[in-house]
Amino acid sequence: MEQERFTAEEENVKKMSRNDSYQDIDVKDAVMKRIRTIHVQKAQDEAAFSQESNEPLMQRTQEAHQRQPRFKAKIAVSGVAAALLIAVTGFGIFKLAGDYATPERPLTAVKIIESQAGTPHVLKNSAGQVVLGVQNITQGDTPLPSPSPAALKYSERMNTYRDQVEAALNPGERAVFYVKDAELDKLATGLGYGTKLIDAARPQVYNDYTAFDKAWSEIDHSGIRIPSSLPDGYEFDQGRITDQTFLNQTTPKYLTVLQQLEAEAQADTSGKQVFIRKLEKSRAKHLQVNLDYIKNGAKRSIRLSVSELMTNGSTKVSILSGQSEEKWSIGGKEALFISISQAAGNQGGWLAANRLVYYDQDSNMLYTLSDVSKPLTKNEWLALAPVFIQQSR
Amino acid sequence: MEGVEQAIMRVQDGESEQYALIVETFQKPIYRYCCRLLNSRTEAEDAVQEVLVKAYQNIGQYRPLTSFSSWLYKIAYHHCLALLRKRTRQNKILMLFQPGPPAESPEQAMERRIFSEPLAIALAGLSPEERSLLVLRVFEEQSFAEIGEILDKNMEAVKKKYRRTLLKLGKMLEAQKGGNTWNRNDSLLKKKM
Repeated sequence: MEQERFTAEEENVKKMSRNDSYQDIDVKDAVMKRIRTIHVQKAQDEAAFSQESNEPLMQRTQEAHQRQPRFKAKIAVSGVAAALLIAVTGFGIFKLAGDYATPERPLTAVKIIESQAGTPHVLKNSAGQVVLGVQNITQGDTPLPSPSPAALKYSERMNTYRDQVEAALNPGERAVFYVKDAELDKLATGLGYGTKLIDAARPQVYNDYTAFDKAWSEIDHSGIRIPSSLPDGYEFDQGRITDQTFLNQTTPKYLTVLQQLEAEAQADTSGKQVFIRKLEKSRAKHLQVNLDYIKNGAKRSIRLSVSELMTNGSTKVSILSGQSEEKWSIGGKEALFISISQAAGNQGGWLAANRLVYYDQDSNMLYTLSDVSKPLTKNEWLALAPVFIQQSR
Repeated sequence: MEGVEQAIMRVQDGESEQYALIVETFQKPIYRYCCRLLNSRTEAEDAVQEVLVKAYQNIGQYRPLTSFSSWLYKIAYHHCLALLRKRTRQNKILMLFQPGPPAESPEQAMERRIFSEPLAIALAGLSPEERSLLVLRVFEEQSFAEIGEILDKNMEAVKKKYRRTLLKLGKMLEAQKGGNTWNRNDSLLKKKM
């Protein structure tokens, strides 16, 4: 603040107002109650809007973009093949789930830690500081809203631009882009979307486990070793690594890039609509790894999200009513297991996925494994957890 | 304010509980500001909640190009402005049915004590923008640069407007007292600013 001294007249005015009776105001509870409601509503919107997304609430509450699966053709082919196989052989793929709890593979590797009455589980680092906790959120009974026509229109339009940008990137590259489109701006204003710089990333795709493992091990904080096969003979089919480290909106760099791209867009007279700035390679803070394993045409998809733990405090995983959490000890390594919401129904998103969250102190990274597209049973997770966690570095 | 800045970033990243720190830090100054702008504690209590919720809903749009406190004051200013306009419209309608000035309730009388009576009367003669300018500068002790950010004006324009507002207020106070309580001195004001 400037050191501007007050004149005698200003001091006189100041004396004419009481300054002692403003201390009793406390609206924190009332405001936070409303904030929580908004937060839950936003999460529900996001879940409705992005059926494929499994990102936990703690990661982002920015606009959700309904993404078309990049590999939908391949998924469709696999789906048809699986359906044919079921029809021809009469085998149900659901039977595979039951195979986990067999006498040959006793579920002794995971110890479930009981919580003390009413105390939610936490994960701590070696210094005893809490690094991960849970946050219970009670959502209302309101049915999941459908995205508004405006939101769908925005999403569709934005995805077209994003596809253009991703096509211009090489595998593994990231970028931010600015769109010069008055209609999109109008939609964004109406929907309350504030983000001007949009993120885009092109994944690195591996169809061969050896190449995938090499690429994964070269990432300096790959604290979890990704296996070549899962219990019951599911073999690696494809791995996609996407670096989702984008510019933080509160940094000067974000502003600089935004201003540069805005200036470029303003100066342009060629009718160009998308203005891209590729981001330099840096240590990844957010990674998403999509893994497909296959056995006799049946596919099992696991998503691994890797996020750097924020400094100065702990992170909380949101748990909606209907979901439950357990603490598992896997060969002495602790992880939180958050089960699928029984009330999730067809809501999709992270409401309808199980999550296993593990913290690796050496890399200061949180690893969230989740079952996208088709939830696994708890027994399947109990078998799966040691395969990933025990092989951590 | 490092903790607040950290909290802002975390809220922008989706950690809504971090917003509690922001509410705790800013509720009192924003309440004070709303009280003085609206001259009503009851309305200000509602206003501060609305302002803080609005800020949360739009926090994704906040950029550290301006201070967070200025950004909040700006939201508060526009919110209070809308309330004052609404109040003016309602008063006009009431006046149609109630020719005399409305009787003052004990609560209203107490509320009026936000300012001394002469100042309250004088402030009522200022436009909302002039009133906001005065409150931000004299009571909230904001710099002219920050006031410029809040009112969307450049610093020089704010200084000029403030000088005129202060003189206008002085004249109104003088008119009430008919005496010398207001020591108007244009050259001194110019020098200090």
